[in-house]
Amino acid sequence: MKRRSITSHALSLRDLRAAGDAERDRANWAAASYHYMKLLEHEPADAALWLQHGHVLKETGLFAQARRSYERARVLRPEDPEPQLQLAILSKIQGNFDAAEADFEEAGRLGYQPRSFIEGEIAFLRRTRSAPPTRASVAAAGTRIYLSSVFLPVPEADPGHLKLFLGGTHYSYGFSMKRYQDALERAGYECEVVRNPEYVPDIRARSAAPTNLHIGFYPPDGPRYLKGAHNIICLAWEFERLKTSAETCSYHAFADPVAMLARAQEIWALSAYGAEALRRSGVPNVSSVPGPVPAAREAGRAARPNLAELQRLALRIDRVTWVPLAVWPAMQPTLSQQSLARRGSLLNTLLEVEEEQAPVLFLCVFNVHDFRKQMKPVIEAFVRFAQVHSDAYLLLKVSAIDSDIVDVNSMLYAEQIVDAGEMTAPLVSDRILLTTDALSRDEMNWLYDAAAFYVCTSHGEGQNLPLIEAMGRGVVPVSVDHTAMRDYISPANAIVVPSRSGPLTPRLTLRYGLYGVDTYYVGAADVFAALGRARDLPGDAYEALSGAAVAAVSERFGLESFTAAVNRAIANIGTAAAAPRAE
Amino acid sequence: MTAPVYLEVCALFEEQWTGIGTVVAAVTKQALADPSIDWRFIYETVELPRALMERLLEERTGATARTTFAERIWEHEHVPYAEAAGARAVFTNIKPMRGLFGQEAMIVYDLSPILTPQFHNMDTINHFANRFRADVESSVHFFPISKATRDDLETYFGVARAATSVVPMGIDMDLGSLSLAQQVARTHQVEPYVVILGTLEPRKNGRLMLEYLARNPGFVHRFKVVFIGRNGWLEERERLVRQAEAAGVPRDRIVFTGYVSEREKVGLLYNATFCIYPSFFEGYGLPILEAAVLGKLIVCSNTSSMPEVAPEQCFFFDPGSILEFSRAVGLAEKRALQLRLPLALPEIAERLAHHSWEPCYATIRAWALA
Repeated sequence: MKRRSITSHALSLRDLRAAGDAERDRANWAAASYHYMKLLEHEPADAALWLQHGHVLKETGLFAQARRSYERARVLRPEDPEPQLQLAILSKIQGNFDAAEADFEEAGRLGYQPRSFIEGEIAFLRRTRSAPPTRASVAAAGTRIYLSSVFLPVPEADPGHLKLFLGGTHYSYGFSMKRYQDALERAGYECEVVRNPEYVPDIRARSAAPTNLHIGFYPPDGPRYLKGAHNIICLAWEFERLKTSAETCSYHAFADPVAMLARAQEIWALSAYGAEALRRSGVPNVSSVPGPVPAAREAGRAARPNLAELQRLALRIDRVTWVPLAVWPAMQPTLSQQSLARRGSLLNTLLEVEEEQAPVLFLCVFNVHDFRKQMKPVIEAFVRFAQVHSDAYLLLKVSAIDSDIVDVNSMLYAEQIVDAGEMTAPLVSDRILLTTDALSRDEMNWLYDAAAFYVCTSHGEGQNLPLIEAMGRGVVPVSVDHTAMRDYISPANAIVVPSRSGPLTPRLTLRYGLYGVDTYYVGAADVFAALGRARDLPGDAYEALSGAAVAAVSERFGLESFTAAVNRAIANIGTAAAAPRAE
Repeated sequence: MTAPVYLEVCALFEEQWTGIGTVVAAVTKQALADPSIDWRFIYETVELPRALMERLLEERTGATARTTFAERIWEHEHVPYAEAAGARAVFTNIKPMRGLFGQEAMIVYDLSPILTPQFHNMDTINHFANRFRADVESSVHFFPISKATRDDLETYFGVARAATSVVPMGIDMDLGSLSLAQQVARTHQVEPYVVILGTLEPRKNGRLMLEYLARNPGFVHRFKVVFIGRNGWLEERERLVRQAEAAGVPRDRIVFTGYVSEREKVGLLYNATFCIYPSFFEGYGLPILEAAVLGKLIVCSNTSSMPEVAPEQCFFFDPGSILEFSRAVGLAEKRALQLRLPLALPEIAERLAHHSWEPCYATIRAWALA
């Protein structure tokens, strides 16, 4: 059958409509569109025709033109829900889901029937709505605090997991951040840990909070900032100054620590010594803000733990394995094997104690790879000390990488004892016990509770979290009082180990890359004397020192002083930082 | 005609153009067509003839031109230093030299090698990180390709907002390729598939998709999964293959195309049901824009620049969260069924008109003429 030409202009309006409908029914959309358009030239007020025209255009994929036709129909029949419905469907198939939802709602308001169809469409669109590009919805009021660290949040409750991290580079930053997170939550702040702040676009685009505060825990040459937030970098620093750009020996864009830290709005040094060192290096906006380390006790101990208490605590950490000290360079592998053969729990050791008087446990917690810990004089002193005091034990809780592969005595020798410029005498003692096991938070607390004294002879510290934690549980420090310890160690709360300053040794210089810088040294004889003073403390003196240690931690590291520092920072942010940026 | 303005185009001599090559080619094409500025094209300190630039744009690879240029390098003129000292220059990537020109500006794509070094090999880190600070210090103006990159410049290098002009990214999509893709869809039964677009490297986070498949094995029975992109670094492709095997995904349900031509890429995008872009960090995210122009829904990371590109068509998720990713994929799958795709060519042409490279070039041109 011969088809009529679609270009014929001699068709009547009725024929045009019939031709358009016929082409539409044959899915010949282009031809249908042509006929309808011709017809609309004559009948531009026919809303139904505009709808038909929109339908065929939609079928050809010409969505923009279809929309124009539907909108003409809507103008002609503003109270008719049909054009509104067609616009909604068009928006939906184009992927403009928000517009579709609004159009469906409008069609419903105009009375489209069946109503259930509209409700179903809206329900679907809402159910499948895209989440905004946010990590989490954020409360509108007040200040939102974000925390981030160079290291992952440390899983303190799980020793197996914890062991994967201990001893690695920068793991202590993860511990610090966890302390801040706990303190902020206790103080009632809303806070969130951000894994990689460098990934996050301007936080003001996704946070409804008027002010956003980011507290980051990073080494000086690697801070990461949260864009759009008031950035505070928390930093522990233990030497006289930062590296100069000459000492960094690098062209890396982030190598200059002063330039990198200068980009923060505030630097919170964890000690007064660290703050002074950073200012001396040229870092602006530095304050000394102690990190939160809540004291576990309200008052000090009345006495050193007695044997029954020690055995009870040792039972709680019975799974932890200790080996005796065995450093003998000339035959280290053999000695290490023999030390391993003598491994056992602390409880086993305590059960062998025959004297009526309780053993006196000295404790030190340290990263074996950290040269700053200056363990050699402590160990030398304690080997001799144990020879004359049969009740004295030194527990060394050691963090180390590869501790399942390399034995702790070999690591101790390589990282803390050996120095090409000094002789190393054999250091073997079954009264110095070492463990590389990871301990949960509870287990660490029981270990602190078992110790009468905590020993610290570091070259320098930026904060020294284990020492502060021990003091907070009433352990009496046997400690140097320089660098960070200057803030909280004194003869009123500790047995102070004398120290002297001097230039970094070649070994320390090579490790830290600082030239012409002094640090602090202790001698084994001074440590020996301090250990003796500690052991011989009368009961009331021990009680006084323990009470003062707890008080010092409460006062300096308590929630109250920390909350005051956070509130000051929030007050300092000011309206300029809080205002949205003009684009 | 103005005083000479120099445009450094080293990136065009790469064998395979990906993101940076595409941007440089687009700017170069516009510059060649602009008679109001005396653009001089340079490879380091050597001026390049316009004919060579046109050839590069025609071939869309630097593979052959590089050899030709090397053979003829003795014949080419170096930039006259005296003239350069008074001229402006636009560097389109890390600078091959500094301080040669009176005023230097640079396009900045992202700071990924220094902000996320874990995703790069040492060569890339050293090449970028060891040079970037001096590049910044020797430049008076910057053309970041996104607000996120602009903010990184400000945050980490103190670059003032006034010294930056964000250059809008564009798309140069060949409608002929689309027509071919449309023809394929009409004449062949195209199996439903989703596309993950980008070089195979850890930053692109393709492993998140495989983690998803391990938890949702039914997905590959509904959609084939097509990874489009050249094999990158840090053995990511091998890792992904192993992960797919470990997840028990049938081998024939995942396709790694390797490097594909622009035409093939457009064709694959055009007929995809939806797209997935799980990258951790981007300077912009051109594939997101390409997919959006084709009307596709995109399951897209919510980090760095990516939320800027086409938010209205994206289902965002945290690239570190398999739960958020799973939710986003589920939503995209449901909504994709509502769409009338592929779009008609006139519809795409209209969308493309809104995303030409002209605004990008105009931004650079404004600085060149200032």
